[in-house]
Amino acid sequence: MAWLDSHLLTSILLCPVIGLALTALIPASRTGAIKLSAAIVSGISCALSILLWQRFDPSTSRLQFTERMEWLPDLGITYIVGIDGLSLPMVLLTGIVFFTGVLTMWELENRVKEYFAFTMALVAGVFGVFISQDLFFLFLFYELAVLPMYLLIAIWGSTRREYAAMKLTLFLLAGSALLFPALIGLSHYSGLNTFDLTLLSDANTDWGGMGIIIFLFLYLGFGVLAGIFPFHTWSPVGHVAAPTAVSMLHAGVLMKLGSYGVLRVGMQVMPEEMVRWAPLIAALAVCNILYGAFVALGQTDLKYVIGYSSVSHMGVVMLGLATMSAAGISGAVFQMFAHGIMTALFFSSIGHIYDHTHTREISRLGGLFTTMPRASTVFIIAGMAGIGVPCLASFWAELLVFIAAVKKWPLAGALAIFGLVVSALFVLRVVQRSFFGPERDDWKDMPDMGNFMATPRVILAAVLLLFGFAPFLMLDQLAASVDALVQVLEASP
Amino acid sequence: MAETLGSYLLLSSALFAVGLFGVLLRRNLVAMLIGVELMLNAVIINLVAFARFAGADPGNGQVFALFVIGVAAAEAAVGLSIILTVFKARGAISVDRLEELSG
Amino acid sequence: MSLSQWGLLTIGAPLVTFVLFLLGVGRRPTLTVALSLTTAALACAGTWAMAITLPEAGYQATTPWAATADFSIHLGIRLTGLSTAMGLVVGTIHLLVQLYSLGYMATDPAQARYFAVLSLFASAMLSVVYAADLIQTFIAWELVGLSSYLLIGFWNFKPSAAQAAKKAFIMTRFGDLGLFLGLALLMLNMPVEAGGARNLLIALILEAVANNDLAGNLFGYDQHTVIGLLLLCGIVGKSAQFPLHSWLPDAMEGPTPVSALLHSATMVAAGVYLFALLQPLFLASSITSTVALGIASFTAVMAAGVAMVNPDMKRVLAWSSISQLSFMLMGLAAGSEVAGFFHLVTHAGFKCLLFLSAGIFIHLAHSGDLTEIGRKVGSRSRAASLGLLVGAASLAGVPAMAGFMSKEVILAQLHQPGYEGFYWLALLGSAMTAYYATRMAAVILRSDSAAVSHHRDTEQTKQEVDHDSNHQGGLADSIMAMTVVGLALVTLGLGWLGPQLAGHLGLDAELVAIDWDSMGVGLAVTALLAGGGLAWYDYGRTGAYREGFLSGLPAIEAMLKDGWHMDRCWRWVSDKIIAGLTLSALFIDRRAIDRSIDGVADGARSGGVLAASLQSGRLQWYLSLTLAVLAVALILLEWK
Repeated sequence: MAWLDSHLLTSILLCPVIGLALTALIPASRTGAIKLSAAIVSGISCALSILLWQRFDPSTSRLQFTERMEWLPDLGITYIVGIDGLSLPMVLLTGIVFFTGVLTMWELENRVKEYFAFTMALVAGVFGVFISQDLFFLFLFYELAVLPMYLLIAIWGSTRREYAAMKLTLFLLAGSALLFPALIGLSHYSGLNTFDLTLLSDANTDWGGMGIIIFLFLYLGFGVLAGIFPFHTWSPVGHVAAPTAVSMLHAGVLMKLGSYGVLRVGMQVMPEEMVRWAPLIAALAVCNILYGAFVALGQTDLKYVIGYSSVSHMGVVMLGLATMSAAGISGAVFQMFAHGIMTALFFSSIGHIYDHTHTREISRLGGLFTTMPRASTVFIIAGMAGIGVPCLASFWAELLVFIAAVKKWPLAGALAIFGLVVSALFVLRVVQRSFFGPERDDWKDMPDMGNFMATPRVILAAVLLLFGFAPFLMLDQLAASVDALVQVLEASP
Repeated sequence: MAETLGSYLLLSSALFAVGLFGVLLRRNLVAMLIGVELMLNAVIINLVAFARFAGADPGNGQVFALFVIGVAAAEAAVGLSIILTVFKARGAISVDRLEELSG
Repeated sequence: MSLSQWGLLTIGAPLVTFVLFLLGVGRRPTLTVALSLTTAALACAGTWAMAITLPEAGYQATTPWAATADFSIHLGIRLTGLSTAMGLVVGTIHLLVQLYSLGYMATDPAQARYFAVLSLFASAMLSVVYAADLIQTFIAWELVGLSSYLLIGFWNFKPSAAQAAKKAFIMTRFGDLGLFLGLALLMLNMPVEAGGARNLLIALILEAVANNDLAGNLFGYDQHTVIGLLLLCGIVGKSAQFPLHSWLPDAMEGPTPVSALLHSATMVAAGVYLFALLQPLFLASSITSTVALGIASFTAVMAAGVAMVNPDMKRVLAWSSISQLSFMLMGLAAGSEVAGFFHLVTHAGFKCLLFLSAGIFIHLAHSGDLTEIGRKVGSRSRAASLGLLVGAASLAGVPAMAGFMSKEVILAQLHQPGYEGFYWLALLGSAMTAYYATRMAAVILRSDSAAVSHHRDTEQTKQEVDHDSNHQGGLADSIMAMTVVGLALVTLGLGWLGPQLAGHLGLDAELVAIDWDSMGVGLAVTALLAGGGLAWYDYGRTGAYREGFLSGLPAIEAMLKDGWHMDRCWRWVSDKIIAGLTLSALFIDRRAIDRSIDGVADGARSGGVLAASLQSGRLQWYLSLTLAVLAVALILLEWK
């Protein structure tokens, strides 16, 4: 146990890497073995992240489970991994979505080997970002997570997949193009010649005129991935084109990399700039919430509705961060987690429906509740989470964020709360048109989810309910780290 | 005509211009190669003339001239073999037929 | 058992049914139903136990549930006279409705889901009632909304049911927008507790109001006014007051027992209960209480007007609920500590009774139309007729009946200087109530006495009838009949429990005493006689025309039948404003943002094409270009 404790994070990171190697070694024709190995590897990484959650010490804001290794001392690059309360939920989220995503794709038949290989690479990158405490490695893993997306969408995707894949990749690379100079700038202008995040945050550097440029580059670079208005259009298009589990990973986890980056690098290293730019960030976040919800209301494709709802919900995350208060930041991190699970649930339900009906047009579907009660129940649970119904995790997140927002900017808070009504409109509209109503002859004989395929959905729904009933599980883990961050922010002029 | 630097430079300029004209306007690859050779010879004349009238040691210029002649010979060998390959592949040695790099 | 254990049992037991249903017990309907009834009985026992053993000083037990450095949210129970009395009503009515449903839903294939969601409904409402923290109230409040969404849309294969469920959820959500904002502002202005965090414990809020800790300005107005008005939005939505009332008549799409529960003790009662709970906060601002009075008195008359002409029995009852809820709010907003709440209790009894009777009538008549019911069933169903008579008499305000006793207290409260306008509106509302109650009873019970008029079938009840025609069987019918008779007897006595209720709330029994000699009673009886007599003339007497006097004023009648065109207004909002915003957002997204971003991509591509055109592929073109560049460079260098 002692060994595992000191190498837990690297073990989690290595899981998908080993999975990648295994997938590469198994012949492409033996799809069953590939799927099994993917399930085992993802199961292990999910179990390890739960173990990490359980062994995490919530009383301190310091990094835990740290490991260090010199990498390129001349350039100030060190392999450092470690987590605090802010990254812990993200690791757990990735573990859960990874595992359930693999199970969801159990019926995949087209190029199984390549699919799972790319998924493993993507997840390795995501885990890497959440545990890296060195900017260089963070960026490296960030790129690793983004690039397989192109292939996953272009090969296994559906509607307009080449366009979507290209759009997504170009957007994210444009973000990276802003990030890379910003990271170099951080290392250079701090005068420390290091990429170590802890050192950089503790240094209290006076950035002078460079601060504005570096911070905006960071915000925009990470913000693109978080889908901030008006750089969000890649994400719904990507969601729609991607195959089910990729949508789950994409909306569930990948978008969180952006907001996590803003939180980890932007707020922690440059608190003064964050204080200065908070009103702008909040304004854009409110745009995200309202605008995303209204655009979602106008969509005719189920996946587009959910894609734009993600835009709206990521606005809640950014709004929470911008309030810079304990409630707001806790709520934002909680929302990242809750939204990840919730959209994964949404997409896995839609995936089942699309696989059988071959349509996602809201008006063509109808009466699905009678035909597919399980798939519909899953969708309705996710939908209820989406509109902030209590006893589901996102309620608490939104509650905290909105109270914090009303405190800081009453008007922004009120508009954001109004966004909830619009969310209710678009979710209930979909439920009414696609799931309720008389049964359609077209879909009469469609099978519902079997027990095995229901498993990943049940896991996700259970997580939503668990944290909905017991929010303290999450908030207690966050408290120390959030309080430390808030103190830093409050100390900034 | 008096034996001055100017008259040599005039000669070499004329020679260079003829060579350039050949390279730019002839469509035949062999003719273009000949044009290149002419331009090299113009350079040789320049080198020798400057060494004779302006340099401290006239030997320097002649060494360079010999060097250029050697390079020109190697260049002709490579160039002609490329032309030969092109001829084998295309059955013609006109540059008009070699436009694959068009953007 | 201690009080906190009782509280946990009361709220938790029905919830267990729902959770077990989700976990797979739902595949065995009989087990689910048995579980549901058992937990309903347990919860009901819990409410009685808590009401009886309530200590003088009240009781509170909380545990922190979600805490950050600046706010903390608690879960717990807070037992006061008010909450235990309300809990009693909820627990008892819920048990009755469950029993009745045993008969009503006997043959429905989705019976298990029905009972499970009904349990969730009760659990959520009990949680609203006993909540110790206002955020807990809000959570339960939203869950009440969710479960009524699921119950109204229970027969979700009917498009109208799916539509009505959505409407109910959205409209109450609209009000909750204000409620949430009000809660947030209230939270932010609460005094800071030890440890630096603020919370919304109800006891602390009331204390802060009493100590005037909340005084201060917010956006240029008194804090009480701003917060109170925002909270009032939520109450208006939940208790179906103007302008957010039109979801309630549509909510009839659910099974009838659901309507019985939804209209009496849960959902709509939650709004009035919240007002009663935070009454000092609302009364602290004269603007808030006047606005509440204004909305309530207007709604009372408006809704009663629609009930006077509507042909459908359940819809008449729905509009009547809206109007009666307004009476409760009027009592509360006028400052009485007991009047509104007393009416809530009696109304819960007689409205539940009316709905349960309506269920039997509709079941037998296979129609919801009043005339149709009268023609096919009339007084032949003894139990339902008894229920209808007792209920309607109570609703109309026949002296000594439950409704009269409580409404009289409200009217007495309003009969004060400063409230004259509201008082006359309330009296007008009473007269109209007497009219539609008499009309309903007369049309059904005295159908044989008059010429049969043309009948009108409403779309909605036809479909419910399809469901109803499935059930046969004496046991189911007798369960329903017994429930109705039992409740009728209870309702008869309910009006005389005022002093006990006042005592339980810790108030003077004088407050509910009726001064039989006063002018107020005289006026109320006059209103009753006027309204009831007119209806009797129109519908009841032998040889009546069976057309309301309003049919002489077709314009007004049409407007009333359409519910004052409120649905049209809301449809306009949804079709014009919401759809307009949606379309403009879509336009911006596709035309402005996406196109400009695609434009960047296209720009890069055409830049590439331009650059590529230099690459002719002709060797001599490149050479000439090189020469030209060299020449230009040479000239530039020499120029210096």
